[in-house]
Amino acid sequence: MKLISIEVENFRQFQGRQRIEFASGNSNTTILFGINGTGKTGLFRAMMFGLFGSRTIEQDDRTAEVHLVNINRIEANHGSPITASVEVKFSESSSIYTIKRKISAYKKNNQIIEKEDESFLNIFSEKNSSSTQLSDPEKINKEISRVIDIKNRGFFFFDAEQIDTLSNMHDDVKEVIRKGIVQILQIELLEESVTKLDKIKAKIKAEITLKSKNTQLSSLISDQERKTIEYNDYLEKKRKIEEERVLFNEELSALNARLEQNKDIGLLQKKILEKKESISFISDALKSVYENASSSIFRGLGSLLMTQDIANRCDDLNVRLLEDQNYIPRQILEISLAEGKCVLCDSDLNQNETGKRKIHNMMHNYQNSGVLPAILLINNTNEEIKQTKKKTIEDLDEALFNINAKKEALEKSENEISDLDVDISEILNSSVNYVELVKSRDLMKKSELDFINDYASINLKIIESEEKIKKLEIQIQDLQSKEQGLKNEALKYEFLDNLQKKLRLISDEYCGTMKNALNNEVTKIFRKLIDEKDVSLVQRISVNSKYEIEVHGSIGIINQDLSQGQKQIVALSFIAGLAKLASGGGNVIDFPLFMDTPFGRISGVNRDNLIKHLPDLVSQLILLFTDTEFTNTEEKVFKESTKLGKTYKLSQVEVGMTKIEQVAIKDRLSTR
Amino acid sequence: MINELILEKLKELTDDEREVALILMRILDDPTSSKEIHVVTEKVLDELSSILEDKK
Repeated sequence: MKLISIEVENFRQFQGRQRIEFASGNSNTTILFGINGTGKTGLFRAMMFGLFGSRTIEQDDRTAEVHLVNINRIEANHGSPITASVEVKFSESSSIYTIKRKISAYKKNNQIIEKEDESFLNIFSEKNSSSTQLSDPEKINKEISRVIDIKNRGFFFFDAEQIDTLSNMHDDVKEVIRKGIVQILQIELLEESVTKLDKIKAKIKAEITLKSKNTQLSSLISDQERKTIEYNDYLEKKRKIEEERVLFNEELSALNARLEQNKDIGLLQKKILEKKESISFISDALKSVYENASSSIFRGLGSLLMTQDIANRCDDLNVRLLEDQNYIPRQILEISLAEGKCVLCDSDLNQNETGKRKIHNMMHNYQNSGVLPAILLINNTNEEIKQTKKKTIEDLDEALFNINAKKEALEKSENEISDLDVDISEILNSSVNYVELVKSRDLMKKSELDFINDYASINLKIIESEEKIKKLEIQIQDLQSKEQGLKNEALKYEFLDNLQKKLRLISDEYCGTMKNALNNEVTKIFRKLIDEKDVSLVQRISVNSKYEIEVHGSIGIINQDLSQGQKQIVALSFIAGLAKLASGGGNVIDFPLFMDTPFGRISGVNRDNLIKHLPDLVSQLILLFTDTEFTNTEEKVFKESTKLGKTYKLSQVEVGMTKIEQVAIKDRLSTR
Repeated sequence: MINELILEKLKELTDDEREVALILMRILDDPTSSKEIHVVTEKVLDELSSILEDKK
């Protein structure tokens, strides 16, 4: 399709008859330039009205009424009707289409009443120099739809909102993208054909049942219908499982990519975890050392406090003991004499007369003050206290040593954790919880088994179901062949059944092929349009199974890292890629791209790239620019590219009246 | 209009199958054609009947 011209008369702010001719061929770019309020969007509206009869465009506020007829003329005509018209001329496959739509309006009781008047289409075939003329709006729309479907127009004629909407990458954009893909690439057409064949087959089956006189045949057909419904349910379940599996795999891949992306953090977080465990272990040990030390102190406290006092007492008592001359208890002397053997030195007293005499003397001289046992006990206690004190001091020394060592270890671990935390924040200033990511991945891996089991079980059911249907089919065919009257219906059914199976395969293959082709195309176009320095940031762009546009960089999906301008270039690449595939996948999109304020948030270098490359991607480019989008800089780049074919300036003559003037390419168009 | 890539894919069908598939797809693609099942069925079965008739 190639736009040739548009002529507007009394339409919006365009009073009288005004015409724009569009550039094509080598210099295929037309620029319509005007400051705000001069009617750029009015021209976009005129194109939509002329081609499709649309009285509103996407960006309109649905609650406010939009008038298409020039208000000044309506006012001046004092209640008599004024007619506005739009005539669009375009060529398609060696035919010239001239479509003219009229709308009239008048003012009554301060209200403007508009009414679509008439439409007219002339198709001139250059092949046989003949013309076809149509005036029935339905037939006109049908003819226009053969060239460009109204539901797809948003991908070829887009207003200022469309690029912004697509570049937002929000959830509601998914539906726009899904529609674009399934409608423009006609995936929907194939899928719908398969579904419709199901219904046609069901009708033939019903016919056979109705005509059949054989009750067994009717029952088999009913049986087969039930089994087919069941079979289709299984297929649907299988499809859902496959879809979920695709989503699951995408999620798992994204998770793995995040894990890979954050593996350094993972290692650090693992180290922190180990350090924290070690701190907890050291803290427990320290607690136990404290407890042991305090019980040692408790146990040895008496010994520490009392040692000197008891030692002094012992010395006094020992002096007394010397005075008593009763170092050896009387019982010891008595036992030694009785047994004839010294209890203390084990010497045989019968052989040792001197020793025996000495013991007798001691018995004779024995004086007993009665304090000896007490002195011995105190001496023993003193010795025990001394030992306890020594032990307590040793224990406390050891405890202090342990406490110091544990404290040092604790401090070291805490310092190491602080260092690791600093390292993590240096690597990534985010709250990535690697451990949680690993947990999620492990959980997902577990649920992968459920998928495998569900898939195996549904496949088994499908195979069983297919076998049952096949058996019934053979029985039915056998019985049908015996009933001559049903032969024809049976043949039709079999034919459509085969066709449906083949179409289903074609549809699946086509859908996969087109999605891959779209991903490749969008990536290729994006690489052309984006600033050279950013090319390496993006490895590929793809549309996932949830119809979200994903931009992949070396570290996974980087949608969130793109600037708004870069997102707009992604959106433009998507639109161009889709349009290119829809127009047959050739090197150039065989459709015009008609864009209202396309450079919104796109920065300098990217604008230059768009100016250089967009005209090469499409057969015709029509751009509506405001003064801030098309400055001296952009004009220079356009003129250097030699792609600029025609330029027009929209100027406001008075309120509600715009004049369209063609400006020669050599003359300056921009005002800034 | 059915795009070239789909038309290319439909070459995998037999001539008769392609003819019926194209009838069905053109009805579905034509924004002015009724998509009601009895209308679609009638058109598809008419085409199919004439194909089967030609074969006899």
